Amino acid sequence: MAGSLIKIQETIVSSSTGSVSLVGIDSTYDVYKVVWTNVTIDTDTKQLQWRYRNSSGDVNSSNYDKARKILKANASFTNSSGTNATQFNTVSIGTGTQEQTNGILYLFNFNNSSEYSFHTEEASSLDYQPTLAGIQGGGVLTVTESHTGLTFFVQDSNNLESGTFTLYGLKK
Amino acid sequence: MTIEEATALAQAEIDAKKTINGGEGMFAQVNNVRREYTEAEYDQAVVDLANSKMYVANEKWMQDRAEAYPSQLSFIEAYTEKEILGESEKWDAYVVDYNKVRSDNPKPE
Repeated sequence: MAGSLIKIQETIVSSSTGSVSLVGIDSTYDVYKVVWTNVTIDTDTKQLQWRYRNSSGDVNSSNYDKARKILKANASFTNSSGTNATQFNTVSIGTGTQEQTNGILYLFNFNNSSEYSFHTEEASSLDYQPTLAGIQGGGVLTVTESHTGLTFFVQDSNNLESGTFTLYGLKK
Repeated sequence: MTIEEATALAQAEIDAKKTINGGEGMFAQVNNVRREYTEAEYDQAVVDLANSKMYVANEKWMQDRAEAYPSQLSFIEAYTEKEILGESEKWDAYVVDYNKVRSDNPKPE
């Protein structure tokens, strides 16, 4: 359906930045979509990570659960799962030529305070080796509260160097 | 490494990054506005970095081994050739590779 993907916010990183927050999720749409493209970082072998946000800011919780498949071009596919983590993450990327991560999240129940918030994840990255690494899977924050957005950051308090982060709403 | 040791190391690293301490600062972009981290965000960065140091010191060796072990296919091929055909060349090579992964990624004391 034409016009069904509504851009809400776009943040372009053009200098070293510790975190990017996308906000603006409310009751307008049932499902939201986040896209990150050409994301590079300043330190080798670190992950792009993210947390959900609520009205008070980032949700610093130990209730992030994930279940994913890591699809690597040079090795067997592996599972990546865990419960009660403090954030979500991509694969580790580096600082070499064209090493970057790109990905999409679909966000569910974010505006529902009586349900957990979920996302599906798909990503395609040239990792630190550098090798193509894909991800398919999902995550959940096992806390019944509503969420207004997400914050992306780099493992071990390192910096994003470049990239574009965009939040869309899927028109009802 | 204990969580106290990791936190102390992380605190020192994050403190050194603050502009108030002469560092380059850590910055957040929220609603496309770029600003230095708040104290709460710096505090969370300390927690994150300490957790990561704990993982690297105490658990990362398991993930590193899992990613570096020879493939399951090479195990099956080497093991079946040894057991069924009585040819141990691939098995001997597998054992060398397997032991190298373990020595390259030692379990912390």
